[in-house]
Amino acid sequence: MSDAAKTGRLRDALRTGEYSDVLVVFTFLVGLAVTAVHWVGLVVGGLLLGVLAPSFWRAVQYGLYFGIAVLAAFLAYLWLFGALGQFAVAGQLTWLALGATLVLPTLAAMVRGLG
Amino acid sequence: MSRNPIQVAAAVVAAVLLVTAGVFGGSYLSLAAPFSGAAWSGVSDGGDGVGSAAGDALSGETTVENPYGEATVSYDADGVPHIEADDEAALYYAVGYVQARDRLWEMDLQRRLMAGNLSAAVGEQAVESDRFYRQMDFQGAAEASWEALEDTEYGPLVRAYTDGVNRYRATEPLPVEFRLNDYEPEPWTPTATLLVDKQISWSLSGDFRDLEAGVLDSKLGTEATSELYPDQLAHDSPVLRTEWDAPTANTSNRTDLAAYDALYESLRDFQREPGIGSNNWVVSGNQTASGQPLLANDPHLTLTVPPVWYEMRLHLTGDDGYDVRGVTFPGVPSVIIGQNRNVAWGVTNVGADVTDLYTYETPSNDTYVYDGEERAFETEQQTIQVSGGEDVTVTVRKTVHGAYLERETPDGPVGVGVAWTGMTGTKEALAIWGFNRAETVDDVEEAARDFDSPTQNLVAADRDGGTLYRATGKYPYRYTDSDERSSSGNRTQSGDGEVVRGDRVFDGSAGEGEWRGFTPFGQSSWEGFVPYEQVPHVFGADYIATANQRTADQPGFYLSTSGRYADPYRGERIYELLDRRAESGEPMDAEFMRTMQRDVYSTAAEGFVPGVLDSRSAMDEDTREWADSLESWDYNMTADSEAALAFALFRQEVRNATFYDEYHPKGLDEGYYPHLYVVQTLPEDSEWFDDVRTDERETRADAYAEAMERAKARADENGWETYGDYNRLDLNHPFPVGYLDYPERAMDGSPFTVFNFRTEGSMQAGSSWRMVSTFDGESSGVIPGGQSGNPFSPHYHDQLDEWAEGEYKPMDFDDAGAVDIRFTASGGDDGSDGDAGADAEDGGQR
Repeated sequence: MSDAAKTGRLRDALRTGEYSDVLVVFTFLVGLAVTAVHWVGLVVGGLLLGVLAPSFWRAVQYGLYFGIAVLAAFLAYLWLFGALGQFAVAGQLTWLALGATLVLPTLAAMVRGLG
Repeated sequence: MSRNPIQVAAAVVAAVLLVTAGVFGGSYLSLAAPFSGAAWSGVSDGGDGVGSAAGDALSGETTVENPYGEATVSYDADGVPHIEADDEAALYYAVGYVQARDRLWEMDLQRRLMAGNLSAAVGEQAVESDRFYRQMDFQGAAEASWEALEDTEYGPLVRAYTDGVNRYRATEPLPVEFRLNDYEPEPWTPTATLLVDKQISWSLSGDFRDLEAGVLDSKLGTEATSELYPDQLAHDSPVLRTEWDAPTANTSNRTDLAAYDALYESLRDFQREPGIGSNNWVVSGNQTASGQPLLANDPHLTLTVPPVWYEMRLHLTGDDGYDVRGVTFPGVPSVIIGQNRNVAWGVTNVGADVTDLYTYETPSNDTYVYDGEERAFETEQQTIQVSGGEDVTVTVRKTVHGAYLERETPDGPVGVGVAWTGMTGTKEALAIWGFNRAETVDDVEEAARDFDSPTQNLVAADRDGGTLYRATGKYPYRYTDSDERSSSGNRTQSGDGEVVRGDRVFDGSAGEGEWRGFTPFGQSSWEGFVPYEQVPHVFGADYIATANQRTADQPGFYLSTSGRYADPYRGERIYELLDRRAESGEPMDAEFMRTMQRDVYSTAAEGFVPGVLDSRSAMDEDTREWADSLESWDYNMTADSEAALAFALFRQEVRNATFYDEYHPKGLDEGYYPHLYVVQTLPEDSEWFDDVRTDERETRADAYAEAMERAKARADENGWETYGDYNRLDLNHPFPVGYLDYPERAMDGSPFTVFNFRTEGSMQAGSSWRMVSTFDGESSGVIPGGQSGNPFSPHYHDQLDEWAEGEYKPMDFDDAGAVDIRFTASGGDDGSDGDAGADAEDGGQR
């Protein structure tokens, strides 16, 4: 079997195999963990989820869902530490945080369109 | 498998956008990204949510090694640290650690400001500020003060404090502001602490008023200035209402300073704010319900985010211990205003003239004439680093008198030498430490001998019933004869030089206005200054109050003139309230003191309003109806009052209506206008009320009517209906980030009421700390904001509403509860990278 064929089979296994759902959940968690220490986590999470998605449109969904998950986790974190109020009045920083969290993973996942 | 071209195109566009975001937006993402964004860096360290509580419960107390010994810190419900140790150096190490924990950014900012190193953090907007502070060489003055202190008992404590600050700085996350602006604090040093001292002193006693007076003389004439800027305002409510008699200084004529107006314009923003003042009073046990003294103090300063004051309790256990609580400026390790279990003390500004300015013959750009010979300026080129811009070179010059400030003007370079009593090795930090340990007012009086700068109205009381008023600081005699110099270069007294007043710019080349025993940027002997015993002080007064008004009718030496003292309104009101209560026979108590601090009655309004009402016939109909609201007004400056709004806006306009026509054509803006009290006491037919631009002869009624019409127009334009619509508390952090600002709200009070709050232009000022001290456990205090500089802390502005409402929190010596930070004895190097003991490690950092 050629290398290309092996790669194709591995890719299919990751995207549609028995453990693909588990992999997606695991990737969500990895992306979230990386995001907790650096914003690059938003891109990394989106890229990995794009790779695991069975289709382009599913990749876009995964990316957006990942962004929403990060946002929910972040808001929960702020709430836990009583900082939601300050976040709400941070003006441009608030909008930047919201925008980056939802847009970056989605864009990253769209790279799935290359193959 | 073929690829969908639309999806491929979308993927390429997405990839390009991601790369673009990373390259051009990376710094913004580092600021705002969820979790990791710099803007949210303080969340897990502060907060009052369930996560914070759970985190605290799980982690328990924090343990920190302390090379000086064991100490504990317990934060109370208001975020005030109660710090306890049985070794004083261990105590001060812990103080440094907690101040850095709560206010490190503010400490660094003050230090940068005074060292002229602000541009390196905030960019070119601060270059002019840096130029001024470098040329004044406050760094050199702070180094001289450290030299004066380092071998005293206090020196090792400052070193321990410094180590504590650096321990926190080296091991814990930096405050959010550093991350937002992407810079770091330098290691703390003892000199940095003394720079904060210098900042306080300069902001309270440094000015260029002599230059201003000379410019006014030149432009208005001395007849006008003697009327508008008298030696003393015509009131009879000085601090000392009893005789204080001693020989007075001779008068001296001011020189023509027309060419110096541009220099003054460039310097006036860096001097003491006019109108910044404070209240304090002390009442002996003879007048109180408890039989023990009471003391109140509220210093009025610019209100900032975070607040200028930091409250703390320092408890040194053991036989030689003390237990003191009060406020300090972050960066200063001892309690500046507060009380221990035996003594309470507070300060206000005297307004003394302790800055003198000197002109020189300058044969060349690099030389000046002094003592009959041509001398070279002591000159140094310094580099100001500018964040995001080119470095700027500044020339720092000095003369025998002190700093030399020079600016280019349309007529060429103009400069003056500056001598300021804080510009030498001063020991007020030692005095304050003495207050912390004092057991009687005699101890306070003795400690105050070292309180070299700034000049302050110190009031104190002790548990045994003693009371004290003492004007602190060094007061120069000025001699007109040139004096001889010792071989060391120190000035020595010789002959019988004539003592002259200091309210003028001196001819430095001619040896005028010399200070004897003063060595700028070195150690002064103070031998030619007013002896400590001759500076106003009173022991055992029944009550005595200060509000920055004239100290005494006859202080015994040239102390100051009206331009540096405050209007008498607050002082008159405080004495009125104290007199009334004393005469009533009802003893005073802590609640009465607090009620006084909440007083919003305006004696300024009482003085002006009858005149305003008399001028109604000269007003238009709308304004007249508006002015009618003043008729039944009780003169209380409350937020819901329409009349208070009318008066406040009238008060802002009346000096303009009176003086604009004479001042503006001469290039004098409203910053030059005389005291409000001067306007109030001008005769009705004073020519100053006449508008020289008209043919008619206007009187006070016309000027007041014009001021009211302008006030009404301003209120209408802004939609203000009550005083609270205009008089708003709006405190913003220096960095323009929304969540760093405090909430806005309406306020009672005015610049001239005891309950002090002023909002004029972009400045917000007022009572920066309110304290009522007793010896029966009922002491209380409040700051306008909160203890913590972390915007995510529950103590970021948790006292703001209490403060605005005139309420208080307890200031007691009760157990604060569980230990939050436990310092364990490490017996060695503390591991921080800033060795306090060696300023050499400062590495040239300013």
